[in-house]
Amino acid sequence: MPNETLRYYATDKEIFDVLASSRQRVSETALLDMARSRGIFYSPRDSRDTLASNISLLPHDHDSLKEILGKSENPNRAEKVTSITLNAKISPETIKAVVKSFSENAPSDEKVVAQSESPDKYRVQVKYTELDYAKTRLLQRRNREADIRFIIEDNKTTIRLPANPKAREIAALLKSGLDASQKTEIPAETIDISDLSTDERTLFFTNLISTMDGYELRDVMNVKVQIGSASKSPPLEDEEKNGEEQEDAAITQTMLSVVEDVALHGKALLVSAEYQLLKDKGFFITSITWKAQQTKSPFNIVEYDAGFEEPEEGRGFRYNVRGLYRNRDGEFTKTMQALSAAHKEEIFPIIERTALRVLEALRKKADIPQQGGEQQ
Amino acid sequence: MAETRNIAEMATLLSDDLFGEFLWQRTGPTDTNWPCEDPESHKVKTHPSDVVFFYDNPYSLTRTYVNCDLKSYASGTISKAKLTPAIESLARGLSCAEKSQEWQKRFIHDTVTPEICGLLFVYNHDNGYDKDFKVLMSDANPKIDDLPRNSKLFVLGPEDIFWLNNVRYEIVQMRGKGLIPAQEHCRFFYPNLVRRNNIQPEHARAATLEMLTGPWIVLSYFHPKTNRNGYVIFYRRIGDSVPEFLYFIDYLMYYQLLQSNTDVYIRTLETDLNAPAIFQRAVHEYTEQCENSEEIRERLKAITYAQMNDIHTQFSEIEIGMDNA
Repeated sequence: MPNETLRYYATDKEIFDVLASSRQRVSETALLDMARSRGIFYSPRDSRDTLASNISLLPHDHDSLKEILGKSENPNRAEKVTSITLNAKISPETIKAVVKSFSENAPSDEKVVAQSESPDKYRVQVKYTELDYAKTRLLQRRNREADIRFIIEDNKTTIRLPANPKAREIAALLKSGLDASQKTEIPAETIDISDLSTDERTLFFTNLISTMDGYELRDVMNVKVQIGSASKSPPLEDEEKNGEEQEDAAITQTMLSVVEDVALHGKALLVSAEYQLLKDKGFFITSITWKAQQTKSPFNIVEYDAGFEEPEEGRGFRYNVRGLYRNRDGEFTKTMQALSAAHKEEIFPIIERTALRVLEALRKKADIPQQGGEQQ
Repeated sequence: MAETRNIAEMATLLSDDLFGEFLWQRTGPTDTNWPCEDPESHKVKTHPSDVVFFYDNPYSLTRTYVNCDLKSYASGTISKAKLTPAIESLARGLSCAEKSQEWQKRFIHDTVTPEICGLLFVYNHDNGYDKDFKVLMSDANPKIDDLPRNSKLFVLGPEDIFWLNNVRYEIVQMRGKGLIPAQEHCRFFYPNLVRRNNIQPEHARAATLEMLTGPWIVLSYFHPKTNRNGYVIFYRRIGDSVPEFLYFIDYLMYYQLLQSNTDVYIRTLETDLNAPAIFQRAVHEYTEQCENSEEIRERLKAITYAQMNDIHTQFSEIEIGMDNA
């Protein structure tokens, strides 16, 4: 092939390298499960290397390779999304024309597919390649897809996009195309809480997770907190301390200043003593993972996460629907099941609406003049 | 007694028809029990072997012996509670077979290095096949700590048997039409891999369990009447996306299956309705990526792609209890 990186078939060696190098993400159990899905049971006494070797020697097709690459990826890197709200109704024809022009000017390794999903929804998929030559061949090339959606409502248009630099770059280009077509800069807003106090930032998250329409909060499993700048310890006042006392204080001060952010993992975290202690010390929430149950049939539990790309600044709101625990006669499936893109698209607006509503309420309470999100 | 007779009949059916077409051979007696080597922990005096097959391995100088446990059930009667102990029992049997002089005396040839594996063959005798078996399998959580290191155990469920039975039938049909030659000119295809060479290219002719449970089965042949080589690839996937076929075409290219003077047939079963069109799109895209090479276009165009239309849903009506695990 003219371009070596475009080869599709993966050799046994390449598969072995991926499995062997993903020690943390592809455990012995994951390898045993992989074989089991083909109806093969290997001995649980086999070493990880033996299992990886056996699996790499099996015939693989496109889907099984995709599964292996998916497992070798950090699951926490599951693409989060973000959104931009344009305060104007833009016609699908205008969007189509702007996308057409964008598509014609796209680089050769990018493929743009755009289609109208319904009169008020327009979807632009940009397929692009990310290369990292430091990795084994199979991992060098990751085919990425920026799935950007325009949702047209009465007086606004929401652009929903993956929360990564490439998608932001594409969205910015499309936005400037729309500006040009309207011959004005269309006002855009994003969820930005940089103007809120640290307590209000925490409230933003706690209100978000507890007031989502159609969902009832069940659990909080991951929380990241950061120390507010006002609560960071002031510099040492040397003149007040002498000798050993001063040295001890300096050590303590150094130790304290190291703890700027903390990640908590567990269950019912917001009521845990550890979280309360951190909150009292002035730490505020910068990201959160929670489970909420549908208040209507089928009463499934959905797992979400939300946070900010720039946690300290409170900018770049991003969120995701991680998966689903199905309700089977009151019992929930033990493992989280992935949601289809269409199903996620149904849930995203709930997070977006709730985030905007919560932010507006907090601003009103704090008497901050801006409404909704940050004007761009 | 009926059970014994049924097991014997099924063993014959498997060796003469199904696995026979995949070039497996039968060894030793059928429906036999042999002494357990670890009665204290296994809590049994004997282990069963319904039938034992063997084939030579392509990537090691060993011969695989497949110790089979044959089960069949009527629709709606199989459960996790029946499947789990059957797998566990087979795993315990395997751990003893590796140590048992008696088992080895009955089934193993003197001149080879054996690799013993287990096969739980579970079919649905009244309804062809049952797609819920996969769900059962993913829910079953057998304790197989007894399974010795480097051993493996395979489960072929109703859907697998439906697939294999249709592949077998297609081979017979193609042979009947003269498209492929007699069995002696056929073998299953094991290319040299990067980490393993095919070190028994003459002896390892049979389809291994790894191939039979994989995404495709590749039969290669030399047709003495036409003096042409050929491959028949039985493609098991759904065929609903271009990338799926691009990967498959790249496999054919990588192992140089697409040569002049070589016939290549692809046979599919119950794929997506649009699979043939999607395959053609993949051929087109692949050719484009090969700088529109005319030679590549010709070779890809020469592939005969067809669905297996004469579908056989019934493998056998023989009943063998699920309760003798």
